[in-house]
Amino acid sequence: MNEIANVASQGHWAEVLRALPLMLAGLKYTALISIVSMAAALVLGFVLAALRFSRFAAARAIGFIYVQLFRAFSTYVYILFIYFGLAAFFKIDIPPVQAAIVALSLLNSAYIAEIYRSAMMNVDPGLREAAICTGLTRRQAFIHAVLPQAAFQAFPSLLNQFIVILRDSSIVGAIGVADIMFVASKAASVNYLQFEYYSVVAAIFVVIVFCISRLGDLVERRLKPP
Amino acid sequence: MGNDNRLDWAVIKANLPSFEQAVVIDLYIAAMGFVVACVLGLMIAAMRSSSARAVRAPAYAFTQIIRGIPLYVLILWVYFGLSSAAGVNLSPVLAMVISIGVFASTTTAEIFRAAFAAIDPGQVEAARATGLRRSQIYRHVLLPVAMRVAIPPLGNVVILQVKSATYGAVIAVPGMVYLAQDLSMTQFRPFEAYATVAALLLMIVLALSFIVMGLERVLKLP
Repeated sequence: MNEIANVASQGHWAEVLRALPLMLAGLKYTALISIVSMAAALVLGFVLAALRFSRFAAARAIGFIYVQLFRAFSTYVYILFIYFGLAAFFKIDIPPVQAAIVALSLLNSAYIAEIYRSAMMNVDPGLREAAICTGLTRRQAFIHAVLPQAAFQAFPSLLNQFIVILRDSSIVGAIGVADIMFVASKAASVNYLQFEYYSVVAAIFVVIVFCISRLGDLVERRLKPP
Repeated sequence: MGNDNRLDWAVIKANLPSFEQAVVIDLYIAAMGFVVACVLGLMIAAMRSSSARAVRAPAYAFTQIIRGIPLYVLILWVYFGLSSAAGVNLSPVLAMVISIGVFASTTTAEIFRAAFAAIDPGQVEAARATGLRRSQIYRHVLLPVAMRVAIPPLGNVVILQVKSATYGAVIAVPGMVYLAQDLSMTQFRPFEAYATVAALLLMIVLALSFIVMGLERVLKLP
C-alpha cells in the first residue's frame, strides 16, 4: 500500500514539473510589474519625501496625509478598488497589469517616502555643516555630502521594500493576470494537485527572494563608505 | 442600474448591517492572527537565541522561507494545499488565522529579539544578586523592560494583521472585501462598494495608529 502511495505521489510531482515551463513563463509578469512599480515608487517617494521636508506647511500636510492614507490600505483592496471600482466609475477599461502597477506604485511610494525621510534624518547634521564650511553651496552640500550618506542608509530598507512589492505582485493572479500563481491555480484546479503546485510556486518565490537579499548584502558591502 | 456616473449610496446604506458583520469577522481574524504571530514569534526568537546549532538552524530556515512566500500563496497553500495533500480541511476563517499568523511571525520574532537585546545585563545580575529565582527574574525584571520596548512595534503588527485579513476574500471568508465583491456583482455598484471598504479600513487603521502613538508616548522611558 505504501509503495502504491509513493509511486502515485511521485507521479504528482512529475506532473507539476511538466507544467514548470508554463509557470516560469508567468514570472515575466511578476518581473515586469514589480520592477516598473519599484521604479515609479522610488521617484514618487522622492517627491513625497521632498514635500515632507518643504518650507511650506501646506506641502508638508499633503505629504503627511498621503503617507497616512496609503499606508492604511492593503495591496489587494487597492487593486480591487482601481480595477473594478474606478474602472466602473469612469467607464474606462483598465487592463489588470496596469491596475496592479498603479496600485503597487502609489501604495509603496508612501513607504519609500518614509524610508527616505528616516535616512535623511539619520545623517549627522554636522556633515552638512562641515560641507558648507568648506565652501560648498547648499545644493552641492546636499548632492555630494548628504545624499550619498542617506542613500547608503536607505539601501537595505529599499531592497526590503522591493521584496515586499515582488511578493505583493502575486495577487494580480486574483484579477486575471497570467502570472505564475494564476497558471498554478488553473492547473491545480484541473487535477487537484494544489499542494504540489502551490509548494512549487512558494519554493520559486523563496529562492528568488533569497537570491535578491544575498545580492543586496554584497552590494551593501561594496557601497559602504570608508 | 448604475450605468450613469452619479454615485448611489443607497445600496451601501441598505447593507450597513452586513458591513458591520463583515468588519467583525475581519477584526476577529486579525486579532487571532496576531495571537498566533506572537506565540510563534516568541518560539522563533527563543530558538534563534539558543546555543545549540540544531535548535537555531530550523528557526533560521523557517524565517528565510516565510520571508520569501507571498501572503496570497501562503493562504492558498494552507487552505487548498493542505486539504488536497493531507486531507486537512480547515474552515476558511481558521485557514486565514493560521496564514496571517505564520506570515507575521518572522516580524514578531524580530521584535521580541530586539526587545530582549535591549535589556541591560547588569539588571539581571543585580536581580540575581538580590536572590531572585530565574522565573522571578523573568517576571519582575526581564518582561517589564522587554514589553516596554516591544509594545509599540507590536501595535504595528496588529495594523498589519488588519490589512492582511482583507485577503480572506480569496478563500471566500465573508469579510469586507467579499461583501464588496458580492455587492458589485449583484448590485452593479463596484465603486461605492470598494470605496466603503477603503473608508472602513482607513478608519480602523487610523484609530489603531493613534492608539499605537499614544502607547509609544506612555511607555517611553524617561
